[in-house]
Amino acid sequence: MTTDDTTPAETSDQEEPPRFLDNPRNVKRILWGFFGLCIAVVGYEIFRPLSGGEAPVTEEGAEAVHHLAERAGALEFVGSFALYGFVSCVALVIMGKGLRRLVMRPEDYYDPDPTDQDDAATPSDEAH
Amino acid sequence: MVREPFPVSIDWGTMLGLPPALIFFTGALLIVLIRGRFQDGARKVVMVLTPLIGLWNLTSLVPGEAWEYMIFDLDLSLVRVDRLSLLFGLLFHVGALLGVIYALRVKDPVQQIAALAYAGSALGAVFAGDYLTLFFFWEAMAVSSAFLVWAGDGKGAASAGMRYLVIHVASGLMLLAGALLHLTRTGGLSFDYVGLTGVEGWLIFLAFGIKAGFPFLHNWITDAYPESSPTGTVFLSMFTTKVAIYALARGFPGTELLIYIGAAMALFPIFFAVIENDLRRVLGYSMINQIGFMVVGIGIGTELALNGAVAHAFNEVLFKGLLFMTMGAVLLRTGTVKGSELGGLYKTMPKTAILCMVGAASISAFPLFSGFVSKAMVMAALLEDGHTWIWFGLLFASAGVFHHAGIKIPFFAFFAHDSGIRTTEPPGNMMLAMVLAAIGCIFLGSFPVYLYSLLPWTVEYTPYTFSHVMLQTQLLMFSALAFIWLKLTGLYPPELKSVNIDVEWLYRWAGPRAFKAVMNNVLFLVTNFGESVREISAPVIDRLIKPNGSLARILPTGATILLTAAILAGFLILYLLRGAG
Repeated sequence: MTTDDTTPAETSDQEEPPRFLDNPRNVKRILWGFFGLCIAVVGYEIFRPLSGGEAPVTEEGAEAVHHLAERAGALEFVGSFALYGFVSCVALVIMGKGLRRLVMRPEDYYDPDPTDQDDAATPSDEAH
Repeated sequence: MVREPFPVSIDWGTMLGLPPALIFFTGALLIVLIRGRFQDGARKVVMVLTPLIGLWNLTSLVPGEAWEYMIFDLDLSLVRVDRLSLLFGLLFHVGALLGVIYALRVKDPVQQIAALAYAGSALGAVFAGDYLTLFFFWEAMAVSSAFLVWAGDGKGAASAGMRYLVIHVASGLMLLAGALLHLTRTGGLSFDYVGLTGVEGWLIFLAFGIKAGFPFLHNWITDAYPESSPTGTVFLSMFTTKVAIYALARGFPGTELLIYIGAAMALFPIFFAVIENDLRRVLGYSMINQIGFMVVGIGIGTELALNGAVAHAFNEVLFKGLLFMTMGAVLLRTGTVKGSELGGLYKTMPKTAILCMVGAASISAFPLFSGFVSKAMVMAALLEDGHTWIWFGLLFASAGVFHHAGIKIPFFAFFAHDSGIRTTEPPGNMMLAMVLAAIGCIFLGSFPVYLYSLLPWTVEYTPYTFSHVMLQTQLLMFSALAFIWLKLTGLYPPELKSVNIDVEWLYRWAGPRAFKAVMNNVLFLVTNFGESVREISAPVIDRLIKPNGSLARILPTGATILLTAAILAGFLILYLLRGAG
């Protein structure tokens, strides 16, 4: 391995031993493990409802209120938080892509390279 | 003629400790004075000792104490110690210590002085007991932190720093104007609950709002923070916005408008963050999003909500600091933090990658990480207060945070496609600062009782219930699932070399062009119709400046200062529109 700050991929790849994540089968295993966990966190709720009712109730009752408050009325069905998370993120990305059409500009939008302009009086970009 | 006594008097009260800001300013002064063969080493010692001595001093401050002084006949208070100011005092000392360790290899005395003066000003602001003292530290913070923006070596740092300074000085002017109106209205300058009453209330609100990054006033964060040096951004992320949160919690708790402003802050930046290529700018947007949660908490104003807001501010300094540190390490080692250029860095920076994921887990509020125990307080308070729709919005924002800060940052920097970049881990001091911050994130998340014991109001909240942990895990895991699905199907937008225009477009693009057009027309008028312009305007000017004309009248001092502030603000706006720098 080299200690240089940056080294082109061509030279370094040949010396490197393959990493765990370089093997697509390992990546697949991780993904399947993750899918399994996803099923587990929702599946559990079918057998043990998570409405917050099982929270330990204290004498003041104040803590119990906060536990129940974790969940708003519309999200009381099984897997509701999972669904909300999934739909939110898909919606977020789709809307983000839409926003890109509106706001995306070239990297030098605010400070265009003076050499690109036909202004002959501007000296070379070294001067800036 | 009888000479009046010197119009300044000081009352130490019963205070045993020193004003926290004084220690940091002394540290900054020492850096200026140290010269000679061993200056680099000696300056480093001063840098590390300053926050440590500060912490030791902080232990001798007791709630209820004050350090008061008088200028003319104004009662001012340099230090006011209560649980709220002590919490932020502790936070800023911890933040400064982490920042100093992270920046230990920086030899540039300008950055060292700026960092200490900036931390000191932030401390001065949170301990200030009156508006005038607050204003002084408010502006000191603006000037000292601008030097940290200018420390960036990119070509955009100079102009971004100038825009940053102009916006923050304008915020200070609003604070001054608001404070003076407050003085004329109430006869006092004490910095307590203001509320949105009268012009002064709104001026102070806007001054705080600029520093907090309210929507449309937020762009300085995403403009300046990515331009600073790898170490400078870490300091910048810790103080300014948190001072604003402190000031809002002090001056505007329970102001309902803040709930809606905060919700907007939590929501709109996540869309920008998803499509942003500069990963430090992504963190800037994510910072606005996190501050949104705090602002909502202050708006609700119940003890649970306010505790949640300030607890989240405490946690954010650690996890956002950690994330900025890891991106600083990447920038230092590879020369870029553009998502489109990075990828595969886990191969050569595995420790940094893990630390980044700790920060990511904390900001995403994973159970056992710090965000989990503080954000949930604000969420619970929302439902308790009956703001169900806002709660739904913030839940969306919570999923979005995980998406853009929790997954996007580590994924595009350290994993994704292999960019071919081979480098090394950052130096030991940077690693130490990151490890300490990561330990803080996990410790506060796993043992919230220690954080809760510091909070200003009594905490009756238990974050770790089975339901809460499981529901949060569901939300986060399925957000991740959405990311994986979008990636596998190719729907996820790729990182592209680009900039995204935001509100700054108004003063970086449209404003300067409009200004130029107007000025050209004015010049045209003056050069071509100079004589007639003079003839028309002369009688008007005459009337204004003749005896008893509106410009010749003697104004009360307060009004004069307000007028001066307004003129200065006018110049600042013109400067900004001219295309600052």
